[in-house]
This record gives sequence, C-alpha cells and structure tokens, in this order.
Amino acid sequence: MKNRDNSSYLEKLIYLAVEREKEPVSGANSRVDLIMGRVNELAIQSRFEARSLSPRLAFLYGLSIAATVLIGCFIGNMALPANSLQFSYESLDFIHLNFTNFFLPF
Amino acid sequence: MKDLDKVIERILVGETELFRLLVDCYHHKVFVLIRGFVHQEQDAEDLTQETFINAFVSLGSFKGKAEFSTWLYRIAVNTTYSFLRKSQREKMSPFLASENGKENEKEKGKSPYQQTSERQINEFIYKEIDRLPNNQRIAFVLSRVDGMSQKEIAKVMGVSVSAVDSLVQRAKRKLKEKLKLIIDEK
Repeated sequence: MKNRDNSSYLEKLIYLAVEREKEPVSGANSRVDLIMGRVNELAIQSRFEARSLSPRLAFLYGLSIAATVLIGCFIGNMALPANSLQFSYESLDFIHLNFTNFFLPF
Repeated sequence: MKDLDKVIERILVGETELFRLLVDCYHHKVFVLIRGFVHQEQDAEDLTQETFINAFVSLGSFKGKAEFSTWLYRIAVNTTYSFLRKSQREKMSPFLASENGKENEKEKGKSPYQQTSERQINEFIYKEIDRLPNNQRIAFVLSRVDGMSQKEIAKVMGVSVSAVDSLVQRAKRKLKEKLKLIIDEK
C-alpha cells in the first residue's frame, strides 16, 4: 500500500495504460490496402474531373466554333455556287440564311 | 526530407501508388495518436483511414515548410476532434478492446480479479485523459507517440517548446492526482 502512494507507481500505471493502446492491431495491412484503394479512386475521379468542362475550356470551345463558322462563311462567300456554276443567284438564295451578311457584310 | 519531398512531388504529378510509402511509414504512428484520443480500436482505424485520405486530398497544399509528419499529425488531430465534436464521444466512457471480445495476450496469465482491476484502472485513466483541458490532452497524447519530440509537438500545436513541457507536466500531475484518489478509495 505504501508503494501505491509512490509517484513512480502512479506514473507506471499511466504508462502501462498508454502503452496498451500502442499495441499493433491485426489487419493493419488490409487497412493500408483499403486506404490505397480509396486514394486510387480519388485520383481517377480527380483526373476525370480535370477533363470535364471548365469555364475556360467552354470559352475556348466557343471561340473555336465561332472561328470555324466565320471561316466557313468567308469561304462560302468567296466561292458562291451561283457564281462558279452560272446558276441563277435567286434559285440558291435559301442557302445564304443571312449568315454571311451578319458576319461578313461585303 | 528531400527524398520525401521528391516522393510527394511524384505523387502530385500522378504517381498515386507512391502514396503507399507514406501510408506504410506513418500508419501506425497516426493510429496510436488517434487511439490516444478515441481509445476504441475500430474508431481509431476509421479515423486513421480518414486522416490519410484527407492528407491525400490536400497534399497539393503541403508546401514543405514544416515536416510532413508534423503536417500529417495536425490533420490527424483535426480529423479526430471533428469526429469527437460530431459524435460527442468526449463525454462517453471508453471501452477497451478486450471488452469487445478480444482477449489480450498479456492478460491470459492473470487472475480474473487482476484483469478486472487493471481494466478498471486503465478505463479510469482513459476517462481522465478525456477530461483533461484540450491543450493538455493534445500535448499529453502527442508526447506518448513514439519518437515524437517536444519540438515536433510544439510545431503541431503551434506553441513554444516550454509551453508543451508545461502542458505535459500539468496533464501528468492531474492524472496522478485523480489516480491516487481512486487507488486510495480501493
């Protein structure tokens, strides 16, 4: 009983209680595998999300579509089938749809 | 440290499998640290897993100013505290692994009286650790992680080394006082 009043005895009890929680657990390796599985899942997900449409990418897509339409209209305007094949301009008028007039007013 | 930085760089570039090196290296330490707060093996395992996933998600924010372990332990403490706040486990009495049907090897040679007595004392100690003021509790639990210097604890807690020393001493003194009372009662 005298021994129990001793500070080092109390310290030992605390030490033992804490040490008990340090004991390695069984199945730690499977836990590591579980963590890695989740990590790989997240990595794949982040890669996929990185490829999805961002505002910057949407702007670039929009810009490239506009440029393509613009070039198409320009070429179309330069080589009108009515001029090259000597068709009646009026008969092919429906092709224009006023796009060229809007983008290239000449 | 430089090797670790290179490993982290490579993980960030996309070599995700290298993260296993970090998990292998720190898994047990993080588990011990978290178990010091929650005491239950299952919860500690789940929180260890959550800690590593949180670390992976925010690995890009690791600038290498502090050591990786310091950064990781801080995530572990934050993850544990948010869990404790959420589940209000701080007020619940902890259970030992043996109470969940797992008999400890060390207990096999002891009489049932000895086992119960030791278990009660351990349970009492864990309860008193939970009752310590937060900063004392964190300092005390961190000081029990193997290989963790007071300097590292100070970095994790964002306080001075002398403050850590004082917090650990106060925590120990308080625990001894409480323990002495219960032993005297017996």
